[in-house]
Amino acid sequence: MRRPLIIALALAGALGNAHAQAPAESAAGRLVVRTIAGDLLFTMDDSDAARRFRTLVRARATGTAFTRFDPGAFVEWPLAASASASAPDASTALPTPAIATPLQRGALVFAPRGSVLLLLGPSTGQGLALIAHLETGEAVLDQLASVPRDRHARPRRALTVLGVEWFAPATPLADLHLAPARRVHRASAASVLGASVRHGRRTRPRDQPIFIGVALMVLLGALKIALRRRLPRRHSVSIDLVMMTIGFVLLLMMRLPLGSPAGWIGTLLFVGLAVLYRMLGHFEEPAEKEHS
Amino acid sequence: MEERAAVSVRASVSPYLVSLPIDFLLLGGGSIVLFILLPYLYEGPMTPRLLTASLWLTWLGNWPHNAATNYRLYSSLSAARQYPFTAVGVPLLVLLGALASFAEPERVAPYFIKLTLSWILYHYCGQSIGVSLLYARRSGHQPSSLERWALLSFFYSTFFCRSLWSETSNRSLQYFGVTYPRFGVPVFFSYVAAAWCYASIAVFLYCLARGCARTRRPPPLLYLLPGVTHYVWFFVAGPQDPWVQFVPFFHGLQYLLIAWAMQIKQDADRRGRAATPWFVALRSLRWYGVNLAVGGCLFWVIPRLVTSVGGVPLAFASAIVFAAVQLQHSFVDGVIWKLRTRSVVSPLLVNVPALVRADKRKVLA
Repeated sequence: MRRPLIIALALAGALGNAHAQAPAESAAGRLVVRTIAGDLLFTMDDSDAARRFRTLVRARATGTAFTRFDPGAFVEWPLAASASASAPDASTALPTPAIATPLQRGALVFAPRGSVLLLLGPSTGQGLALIAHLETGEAVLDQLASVPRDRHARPRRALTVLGVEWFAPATPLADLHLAPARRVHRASAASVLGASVRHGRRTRPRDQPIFIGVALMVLLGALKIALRRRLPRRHSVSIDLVMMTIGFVLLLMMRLPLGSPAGWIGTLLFVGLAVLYRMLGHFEEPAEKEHS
Repeated sequence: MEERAAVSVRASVSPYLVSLPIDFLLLGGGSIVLFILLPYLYEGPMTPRLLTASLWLTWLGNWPHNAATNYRLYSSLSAARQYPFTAVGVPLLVLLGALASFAEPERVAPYFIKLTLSWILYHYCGQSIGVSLLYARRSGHQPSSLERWALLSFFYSTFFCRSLWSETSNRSLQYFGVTYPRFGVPVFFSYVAAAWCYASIAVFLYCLARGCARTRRPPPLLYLLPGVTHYVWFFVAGPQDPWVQFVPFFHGLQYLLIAWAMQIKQDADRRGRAATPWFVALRSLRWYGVNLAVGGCLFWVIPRLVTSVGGVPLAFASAIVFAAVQLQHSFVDGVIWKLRTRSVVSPLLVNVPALVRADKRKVLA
């Protein structure tokens, strides 16, 4: 039985960097989707695509870059993908909302809600339109498919889209700097992201924001100790609350990964957040003489 | 003794900031009327007319209310000096969070947004509690400790109910296209929160009825209004997508009424001038105009500035800037509106028409 095809790619809309080489008229072009498992190259054909996506393509053709901003996008597809789909079939636009046949492996789909591009299965019941087909990246799809799933067929780790770029149709393949397929280790998300290549440079280690946050807390703690004689109690409490807020955000970052079930830890974190909000009610209490 | 004190407060203070109809409409009665009418305007989940209207109302109500917080904190050096940590430290902290979100859109931004958006619901509860207790005081109603506890319990339980309805799923949420996590709390807890909410309502109504029977006075309408409004916002409008878009506007309106009355009273006191109708009209226009402009600047100009200067997509810039501004607002609001502070409560017992009349008499004398 074919599982529904589900890919969620989040793309942002307009960015105003003009590119002189961008074609003036609406052109098909290529879309490079950079994922943690490697890069996918799509050939786009906007001739029959949804009106909204054509607008986006035209915006790009006149000098607008697509930039990822959705950090938790999922990339999935059917476990038993069909190999029979030919490229022209896949790039044919389907009128929304009717999708007569299951979507093919490597199809890029536009969902009409919001400025988000989605590759979703027909079972979601949303109106979708095919806009592109996969040109290169079958091995990347294989790597993404190999990630273990939960009982709802969702991947057990977020398959993140690192970026999406549009290129003119005539751009040589070499200029696309396509990253080859790489294995997505479930247990070493940090190492995968840490080693991932984006625009030809290494990304920062995953834990860097945590270290910076901890350093900030230590700094505030040191400041509080250094000023303990001169600091009024209400300011001392406020510093404690700022440290707690930073610490709680770090805890959320570590224990509440995007797209993964949090279970009882999620419940505890929710209660903790409510307690934090309650405590923040004591932030910078008025001076004693002000109390009525 | 308590009753005598309550009666004396009642005798000296008008129950309304302006008048019953105006206070009623601005404190939430307007939202109740709208939510009664909305089914007749409803054309589906994304009713364009409603969305357009809510967007414009955001400019007029919600954004100025965020700006009004800053107006109150930064309009004079003495106000900022009163809360130095909030005036200087909080913006720096929020700026740091926003910069970290821009630098790390995958690792920091979702959690920065999560912290802010969850806090907003809690902040709504805090404001409704404050307004309710303020009007109890103005009406000379002295809630018993159990009644007060039940009232607070009701407001906080609405926070838990509304949050838990959203937090029982593992699927991520989106804010301007930025995906942020949910806690995935078991559904069972949302039923517990709902039971807690209705139990609080029952205890509160029982205490209120008992108190009213003892004093032989009807319950003050505007003391109850924030609770009813809150219930409508969270339980009636909350689950409906196009309706909930209006809630921030009405929350802003509630805030603007209180902040405006306080501003007028403080302006009149500070200047030592008679609060003539012209004075009130001009000061009000100036105050609202500044807040309208600052609100537009915070929510409309800054995201576009970030986009053009930093090359960040507008949606992402909007998500982070909106979150940052609202985070700062939640921090500041919790500090500058403490009702146990004399400098906050005293001007809030003003009745603006009475202030004008009283000063007129002073001028004539």
